[in-house]
Amino acid sequence: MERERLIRRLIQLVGPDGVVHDRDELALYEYDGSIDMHPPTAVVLPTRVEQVVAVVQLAAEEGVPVVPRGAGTGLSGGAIPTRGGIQIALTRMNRILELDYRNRRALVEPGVINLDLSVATQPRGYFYAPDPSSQKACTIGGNIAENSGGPHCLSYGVTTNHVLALEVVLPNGELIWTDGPDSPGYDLTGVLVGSEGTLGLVTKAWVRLTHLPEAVRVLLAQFGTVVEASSAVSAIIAAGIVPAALEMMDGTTCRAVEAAYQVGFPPDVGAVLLVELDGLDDGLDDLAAEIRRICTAQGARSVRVATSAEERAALWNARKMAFGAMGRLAPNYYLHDTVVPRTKLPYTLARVEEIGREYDLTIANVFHAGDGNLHPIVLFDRRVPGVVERVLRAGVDIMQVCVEVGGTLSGEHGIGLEKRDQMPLIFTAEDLAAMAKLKRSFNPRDLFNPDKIFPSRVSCGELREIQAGSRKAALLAEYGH
Amino acid sequence: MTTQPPIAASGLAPDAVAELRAQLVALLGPEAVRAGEQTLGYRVAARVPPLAACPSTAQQVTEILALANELGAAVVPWGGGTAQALGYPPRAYDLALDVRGLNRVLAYEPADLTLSVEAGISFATLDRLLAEHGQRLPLDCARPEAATLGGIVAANLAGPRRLRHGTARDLLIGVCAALTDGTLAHGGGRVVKNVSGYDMMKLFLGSLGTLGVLVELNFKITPRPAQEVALALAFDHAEAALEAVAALLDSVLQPVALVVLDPVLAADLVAGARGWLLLVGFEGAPAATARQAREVRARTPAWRGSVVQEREGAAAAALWHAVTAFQAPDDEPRNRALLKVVVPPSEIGAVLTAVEESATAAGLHLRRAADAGTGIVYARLEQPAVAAAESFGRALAAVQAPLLERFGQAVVLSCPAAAKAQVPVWGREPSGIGVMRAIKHQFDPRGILNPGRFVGGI
Repeated sequence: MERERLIRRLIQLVGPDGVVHDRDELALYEYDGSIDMHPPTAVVLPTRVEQVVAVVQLAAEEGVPVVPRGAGTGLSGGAIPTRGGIQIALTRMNRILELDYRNRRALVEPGVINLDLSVATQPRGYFYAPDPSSQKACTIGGNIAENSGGPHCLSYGVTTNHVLALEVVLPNGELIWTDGPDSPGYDLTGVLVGSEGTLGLVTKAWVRLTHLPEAVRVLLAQFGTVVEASSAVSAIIAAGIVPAALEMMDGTTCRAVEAAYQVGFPPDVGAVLLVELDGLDDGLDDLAAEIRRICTAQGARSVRVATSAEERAALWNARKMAFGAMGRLAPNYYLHDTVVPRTKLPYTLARVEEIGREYDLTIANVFHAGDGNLHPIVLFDRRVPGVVERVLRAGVDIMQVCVEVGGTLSGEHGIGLEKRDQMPLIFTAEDLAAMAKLKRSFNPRDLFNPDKIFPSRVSCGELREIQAGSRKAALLAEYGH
Repeated sequence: MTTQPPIAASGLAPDAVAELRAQLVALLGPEAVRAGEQTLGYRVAARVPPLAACPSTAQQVTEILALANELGAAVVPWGGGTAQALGYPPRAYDLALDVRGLNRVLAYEPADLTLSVEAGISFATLDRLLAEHGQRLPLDCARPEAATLGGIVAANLAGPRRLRHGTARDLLIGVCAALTDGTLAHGGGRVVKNVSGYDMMKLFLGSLGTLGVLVELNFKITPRPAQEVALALAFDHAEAALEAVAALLDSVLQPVALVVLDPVLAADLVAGARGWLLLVGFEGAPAATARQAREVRARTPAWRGSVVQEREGAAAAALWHAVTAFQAPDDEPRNRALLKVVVPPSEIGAVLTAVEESATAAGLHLRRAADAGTGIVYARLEQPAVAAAESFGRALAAVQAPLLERFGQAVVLSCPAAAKAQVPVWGREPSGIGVMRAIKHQFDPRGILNPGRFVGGI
């Protein structure tokens, strides 16, 4: 469809203040938190579900791609409109429609900011458990698309464990409600969470509210090496303790945080573990003592227990400021999101260090150690000739190592554009073909968020052909399986 | 078990059955293919298949499915057979695909708190292995010796402790299914946090074997609790018990289960019980369970209730087992049915009353249990005198219809096979039925897997 006509039609549907089409203004929508970029043809900013339905129907009639966007904080390129088309930015649909404490749930629009829901419910003793590090900015709709995690997902579960039902616009413009997990039929709610905007566009969500715990303890353990700290993580999990959060920062990260914020980390610290325990007050001190004992046995130099709410907040701040502090070390960084079995943490971190040496790159680590979710941060300066290629190659090596020990590509950031070509590292052509069947059930014309999740070398049409035949053999050969 | 005579339900012509049998024997060997009298144990809604296949590897499952797909043979995937009462009778039934030969543990590293198993392993076998390491898969299972993990996932079975531990949906981290095109499809992995690709676990969970045959499953597991406590509180009225539930849910206490039993069921499950019962469970460190039990005891008088029993350890677990058994579907009952209504917890009282009114009007005996924290009411209906199947079907429809009208959904988990022609066992068609049909068409275009048994005739 011709650009000017598309814009006119969109203005008819959502009004002139609901459409962005000026080329300079569109530049704001051509990127998210990842490295890829491409501008949309136009952006619409709907305020009502009827507008979303109308825009999607128009897109379906005209065969124009549709890419949803929340706050644009995504780290895997999920909101990049690679083929142009209509970007539906849901930030104006940001109302909390119902707080139903009796049934411990809330009805929200997709543009509600994650932290706002916890802030709204805290006075009644509740919170929304999934807490991505970007929770001051990211939207619940975006969290649903990516199945976002966060530090406290270790014991509380990730987004999918907290979504009860969804109102969804399908790629053909049909508006449906998906039911709760106990309702008859396929679990469309479960399938849509984490589908990265490729199956449907969420316009309302019932999400779970969780009661705030009675008591919290936060411990900070300092270690001489990353390997000692990760051995402590493995030992804590092996002892059957699942803390509310179990986070690690390596020495490089600690030094950056110290330089930026002076929180009191010694200059030679190799790694720190931040452990949060919560629940009933009774028994919590015993558990804290057990964690102290495990950390000491694994070589911790010191274990400090926060004694006040202020001290707890200060310790958490050090963790949350870590990404911001990276600017002290290098102008650019590339953030990974792999996951490994928790017993493999010491080995994997040692290998990541080796990969850094091999490519002459500094790699910092600040991550959700308790669920084995690594965030190796490859530091670099884009202006150095040839460095970007080394950064990318090191990244592929890191992913390879994590996959070799039984891990996966992404724990919480999504595949998107960024990691789609690595999907064959963990999935066979047959696995991807099955996922393509699911995609075609919702999105047969590939209009919703094209170019995401599936490897660029194989189109959905080709995956359709994968059967027990020569085509399959060719693909398998290509993927090296 | 039923006394109804078995119905031969093969959709294939006799020569096609012979062809299927010959090819299965060629694939699996003669011992792994059953026919004639040997298939009577695979009955579904009084129907028996002419053939049953017992593969022992995932590869064999894919080959069987590819063969069945080619011949258009209707397949019923079979685990422990404990949930085959669910759904409509199959439109055709040529082959039972018994996966109990796939019963190996593929990977178990206790220190990772994860596990990978083949889908045909029984819940009890797995539980014994995990117990050796002080761990468990925290699911309630009505018939652990028979039920397979594949069946538990495919039927999405759970029990009252789901309030705290969740269901298989929250514990399944990886899946592998054999599809009708002869391929194997993996999703997820062996790590506890994973957003790589679509969540295929959710797709297969609760899909009742209509999209593929589960062959491998990976789970998160948890330590066994140091202490288990259960309290039974008695109330004169359901409302008082439900007010206690609301107070507990709005507190810092962390009950693993909150079950409300009506007076008839209460007397069945807890000796000497009178009136409505609220069962409250806690698990964890002894200091934490003791404190929570103490608090419940202290608050019960204000809720106008009384503590009639307190159990610990295995005795507490036995109570949840009894509740789980009540909530589980029956094998082909004659004059009984089990209904399930899911609502927001605040509507449980209304469901309990509504089901009583319509059961009384229909002349059916009634027992009710509510997972009051989760919002699920289970109602068992029974016809006092043995009557014709048609009259029971009519009575059941008369109970279900007003529930559908008022609460939007009411599922018949089990009822006599003959009554299934008279009631919509899955209740109303969900709003997403169009997408569900598209999914079925993509994964099983010839409709060979459990044909007609699922929602909307899928």
